[in-house]
Amino acid sequence: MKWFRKILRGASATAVLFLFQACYGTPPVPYENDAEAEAALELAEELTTEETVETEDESAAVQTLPE
Amino acid sequence: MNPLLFRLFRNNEVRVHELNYLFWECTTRCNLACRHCGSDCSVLGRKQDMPLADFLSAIDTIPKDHRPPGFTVVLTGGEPLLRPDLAEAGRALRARNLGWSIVSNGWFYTEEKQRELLDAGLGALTVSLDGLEASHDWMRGRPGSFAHALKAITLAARARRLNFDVVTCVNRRNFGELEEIHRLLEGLGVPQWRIFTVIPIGRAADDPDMALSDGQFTALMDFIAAKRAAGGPMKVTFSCEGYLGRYEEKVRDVRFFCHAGVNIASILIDGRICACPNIDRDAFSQGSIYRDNFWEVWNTRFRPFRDLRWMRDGACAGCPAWRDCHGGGFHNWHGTPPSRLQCHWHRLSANTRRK
Repeated sequence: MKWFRKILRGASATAVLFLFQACYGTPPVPYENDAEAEAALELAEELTTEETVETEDESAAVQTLPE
Repeated sequence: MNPLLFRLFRNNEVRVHELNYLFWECTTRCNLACRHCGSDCSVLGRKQDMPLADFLSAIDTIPKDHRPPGFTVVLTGGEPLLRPDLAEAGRALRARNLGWSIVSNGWFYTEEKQRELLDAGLGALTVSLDGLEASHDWMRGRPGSFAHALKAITLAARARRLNFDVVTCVNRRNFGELEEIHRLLEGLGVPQWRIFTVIPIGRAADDPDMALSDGQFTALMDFIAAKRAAGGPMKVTFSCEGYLGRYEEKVRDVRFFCHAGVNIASILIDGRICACPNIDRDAFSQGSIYRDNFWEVWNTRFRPFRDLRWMRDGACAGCPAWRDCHGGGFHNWHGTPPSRLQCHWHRLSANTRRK
């Protein structure tokens, strides 16, 4: 139940419960990279926006740039 | 923490099963030949690296509102640094608001590589160090492995933006070096040292130098407990490989809970979908990204990981530790039908009785 998780996650004494590390994995990635992620996200969105490209062949006029 | 509250927490986590930790076995190529490797990797790799686009297609099935903060994608192998497109993969994950990390032997982790990966958003790193020079190189099957790992550890310890730890597989050869390894790592500024023991699978299955005796295993628990009690700048922890009875709160931050298939999934080299990559993939794979929708598989399958009643057989059937152990680490179950390879709680109890 999600409300139970929210309570545990919100309390400082029990928030540590959610910071696990798989046996052969790495420590979890800290949250503070979110600002950097947002910047990367914006860039990715810009790159995937449809752009009109002028070509002689009208059927190929719209091209989506890959991520 | 109160064991009763922890049981409630555990049961609730199983019910909710939020995916927030995903392994990608991005290559099985490796430049080393470790004696304890569970993946049975090789220099060339038996299978081709999975194309990044295939992995990203699977990732993109996870709805954006099901990518909680701290969602970590662990790129593992083989040796992930052998992939030429690692930074590209990292940027693609950050663009999807996912954190990413790697587990490495450190051989190719140079200053330039570190800068490139940090620029691509690398958030966490684990480097393996399996002893002092002779023991490590013996374990890793290649001279110079220790020197390279140490160089990587030194670099990573200086990087501020990295959640970093060193992991050591304790075996009969390096058991007597624990104090010295501790001094070495603490001196290098390592924030966390994580210790695990070998599971008898892959190359380690028939190696008599690998498995600790019950007495050594108990002494290892005492060593970790003493280091934690003494404090110090470097945290020492035991991995989540099994339930440890009276040592539970002495050697870990949080009591034992195998998150495999509850919060952890993996995409294996051949596209199979499983929990941790070291789990018996033939027995427990739940689907394939080449056949199934990854997110649908996560939500509708994984039953053997979330309903563990099938494990209550054999030695586990009447075990008094069941309600806290739940069969131990999932990677300890192998074969068809799966049977348990080892039980840490039993080893510790047996050793106490002998004393």
